[in-house]
Amino acid sequence: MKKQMLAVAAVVAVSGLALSGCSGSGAAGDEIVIGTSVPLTGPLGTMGTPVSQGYQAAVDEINAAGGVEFGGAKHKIKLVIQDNASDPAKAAAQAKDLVLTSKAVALLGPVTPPLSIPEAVVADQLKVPFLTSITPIRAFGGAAPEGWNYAWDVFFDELQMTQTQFQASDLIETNKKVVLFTDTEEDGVVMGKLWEENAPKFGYEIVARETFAVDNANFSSQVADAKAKGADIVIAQVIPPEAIGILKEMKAQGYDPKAIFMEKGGNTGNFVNITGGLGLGVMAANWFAEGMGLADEKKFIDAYAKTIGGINSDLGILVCGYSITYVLADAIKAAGGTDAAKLSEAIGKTNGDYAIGHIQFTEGHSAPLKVIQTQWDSNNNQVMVLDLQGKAATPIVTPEAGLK
Amino acid sequence: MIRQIFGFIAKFRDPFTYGTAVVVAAVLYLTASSLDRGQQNDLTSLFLLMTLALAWNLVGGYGGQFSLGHSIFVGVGSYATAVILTLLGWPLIPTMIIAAVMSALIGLLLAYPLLRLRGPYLAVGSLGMAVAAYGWMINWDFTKASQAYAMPKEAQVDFATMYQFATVLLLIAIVSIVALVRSPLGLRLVALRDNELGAASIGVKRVRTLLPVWALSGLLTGAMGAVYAVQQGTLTVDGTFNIQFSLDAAIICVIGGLGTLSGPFIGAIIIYFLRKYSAEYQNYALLIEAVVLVIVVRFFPAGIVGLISKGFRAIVHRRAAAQK
Amino acid sequence: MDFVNNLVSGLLLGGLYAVAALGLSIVFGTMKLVNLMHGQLLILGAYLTSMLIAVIGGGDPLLVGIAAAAILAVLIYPVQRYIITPVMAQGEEPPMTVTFGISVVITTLLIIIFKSSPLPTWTVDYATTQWEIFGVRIREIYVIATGIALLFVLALMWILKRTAFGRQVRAASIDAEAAGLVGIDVKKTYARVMSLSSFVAAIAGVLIALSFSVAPTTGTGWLLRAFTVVVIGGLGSLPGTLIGGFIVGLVETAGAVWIGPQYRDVIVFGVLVVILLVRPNGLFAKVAKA
Repeated sequence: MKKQMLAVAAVVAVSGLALSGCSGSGAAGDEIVIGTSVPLTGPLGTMGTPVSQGYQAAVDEINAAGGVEFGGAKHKIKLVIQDNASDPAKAAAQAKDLVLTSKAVALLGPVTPPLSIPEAVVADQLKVPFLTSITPIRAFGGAAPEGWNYAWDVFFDELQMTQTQFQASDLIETNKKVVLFTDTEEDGVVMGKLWEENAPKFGYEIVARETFAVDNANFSSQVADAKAKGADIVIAQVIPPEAIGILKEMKAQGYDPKAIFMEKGGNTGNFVNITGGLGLGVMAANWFAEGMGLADEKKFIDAYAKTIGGINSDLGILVCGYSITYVLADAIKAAGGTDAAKLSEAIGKTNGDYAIGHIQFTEGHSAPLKVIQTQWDSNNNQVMVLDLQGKAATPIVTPEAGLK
Repeated sequence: MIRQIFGFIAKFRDPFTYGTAVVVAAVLYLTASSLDRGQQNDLTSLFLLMTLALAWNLVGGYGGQFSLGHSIFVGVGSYATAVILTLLGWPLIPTMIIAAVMSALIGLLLAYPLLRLRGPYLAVGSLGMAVAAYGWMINWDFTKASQAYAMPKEAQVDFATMYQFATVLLLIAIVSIVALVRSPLGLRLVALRDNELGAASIGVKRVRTLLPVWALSGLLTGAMGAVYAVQQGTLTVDGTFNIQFSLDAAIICVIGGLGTLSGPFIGAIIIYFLRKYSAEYQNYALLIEAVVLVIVVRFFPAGIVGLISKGFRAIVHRRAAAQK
Repeated sequence: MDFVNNLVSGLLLGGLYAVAALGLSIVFGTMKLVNLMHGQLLILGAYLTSMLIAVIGGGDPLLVGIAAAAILAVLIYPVQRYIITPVMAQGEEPPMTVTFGISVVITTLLIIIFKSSPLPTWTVDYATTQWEIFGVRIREIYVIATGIALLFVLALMWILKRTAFGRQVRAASIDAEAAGLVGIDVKKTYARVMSLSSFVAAIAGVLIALSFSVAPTTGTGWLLRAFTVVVIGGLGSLPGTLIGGFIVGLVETAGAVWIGPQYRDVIVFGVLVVILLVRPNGLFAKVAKA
């Protein structure tokens, strides 16, 4: 026991010493280090990969042009990307490590509230500017009742997003009866409530709300219930495997509603193939599509649609990541350097047009993006059916084609 | 039980062991200000990982009960801290102590039925409890269900203090575990693990031996959860009631050496630095970690401690042989 | 009618759960190994099938699945023989940890090769056909799964009871050392059992992909479910696994209807814990060990 104890003491002391020796690599010369901890593996890997591609694309472009200009010189950006494997605890730990060990002067965010919020908290603790996207702004704001200090978010407002399904449904003939499918994840709970509130305002009736545990597989009783209630419209806030499970069960039970909205689950690239064709005609909110009127639409579609598998939300996520990287670079320029307080203030003053649209922050440290509605077509692209003004774009194919 | 506790305290005799622990901890504690924030944060996370593994090792290593339910203790410790601070506004340290005690009570509550199970049944039974607890928390509005639970601003502490919390916690864990393992209770625990029938035949009672061990393990893991909550600043069910905590603890102990005192330390250092430095390989990081895990366990199934003691014995033997 | 509907759909779902758990059950029954990579073996079966279909340029997933299952069985043989078996002498924990490590390796490789999104679903009619018999809804794929479950249980019992290989397996499972003394190559026997288990797992994976969906990360959820099934039935008992599957299917469906599907995990694992409290070795364990 004495020997063991000595060994333990030695081990602890050595690790302490070893750590005090390596106080981080830091940046070479006047390079600006920006860190990001994103989910490249795990269930959120489908979204984390394109967002990091967007960061990298913007950084490469900025560096190719010489870097960010301030203080009379151009500074290159070094982007450090880490994989948090969709684990919130790991995301927070990596965000800390990126600042403390890699000496990142600012952080770009991951995707979705479960990962963005822990990283945002770290940023506020460490007083390091943090800029994220793909995180609905009410969820973001709700996590900090007293307000954020250094964390900023660019994404849609849940309230506006949960109206687009009804606006799109107005474009077709339905019986105005809606069934909701929501899981127990944070967004399922929040959006479900908003749809319940919004439906009567648009003259729709929620006839059933099916709630289930995350990663549910068997939807037979829920779909039977929805079919029995005769709803023409299905709105779901689910993850991709649940979306597939629901569609298969709908096909099996011969339930083919006029309109199906699958938020998040239906925002997966290659959705029509993944669902074996059942997803053809499924709609989902989007923040990037052809014909939306964004300045660089064509540039991104030409450059990335092929590698990313079509014009879809993954491409939208990439453009989001690309845009907030530019917001950060512009803020560094405006702040004349990387002083945390000044940089965070400069981010807050952002007011301009970016690839993803106009970005301007409001009180809650968030910049709302307006969403549109899109529908999956046979080329595995998401086609805009409801535009930014809430008006019809490409006509909606109804009833859902894949279930016929 | 009370008699056991007193018996336990009476065993605090050996000044050397405890002295070493206290001196090392005191040095670490007092040098807090000489470290930069990065080092303070690294050591805080490392010490928390060590505490988690030490506490698990008590049940999983010395007790031979492969628990996959320890995430419950992390969750209870962290959420209890957050809820008490928010609703009752107590000072931080008493809150963390109460949270740890609550976790110990949960430990007793879980252990009582679990102790009927053995081997893989216990592993799966405890895993079932952990998944059920997760399923409950994700729906419980009192703790904001699946939404983030923000710690109140008063609970924010700087990195140096955080590091000191973790150091003190690690010291408490070491001292209490050494004391328990060397007490008659500890001997009964190991006897029960190595030969249950034999132990029973000399009058060792299974439940009476294991309950206090689970309670201490729950207490320490809960305390770790409480400190972790303060470190995190905001809680989610996914980030606390996550079975990854049980898996991490088990892996650390297996890599280091199950049922040894230094095993959890060595394992924690390996895992912590492996994660820290493989992170830059992005989606290959997990692959690297898993491959290292498989290789280490494949070639050193008794853990690094087993390897060292084997090597040590080999040298001693060779010397003895040479002298002949 | 709803009651009958739920009863039937729960039972048939249970058939699928039983197939998914059978491989886990035989591995434990023979080598006392808690195989934490079982979930990934299921998923790998589906991915291999998908790759084979792409290579062949078509084919029925269940038929191609048999070939994929054979390939998986061959691939897994050396993994058991040279990685897992050597650490089994050290107690339960090292092999458990090794299988966990391998499971992470499989998941991560699948993500690197195929990305994180779900595997494109095969378009076959029987995956999404539903029969209506006297007003009771029955999904064809669940019936197929339950049929395969019954078939596998009978086949495995026959293999274990009637073949020379089965006798070796039983000898090794009762006393590995004694089996070695009478000339049985226990290490090879273990590897063959793991191959057999992966074969069954791969077919189960194809059934899961047909009924629902698979993605690189879905393995863990199925491992949990398979564990519940096997433990309720009694580790190592094949009929127990089948009945365990039915129980889990029924509990899940009944819980969803009466209490609420959002509490699924609380209900299913609550029932698991209660069953273990009453019968610490599951419902159908052959020998209650001290």
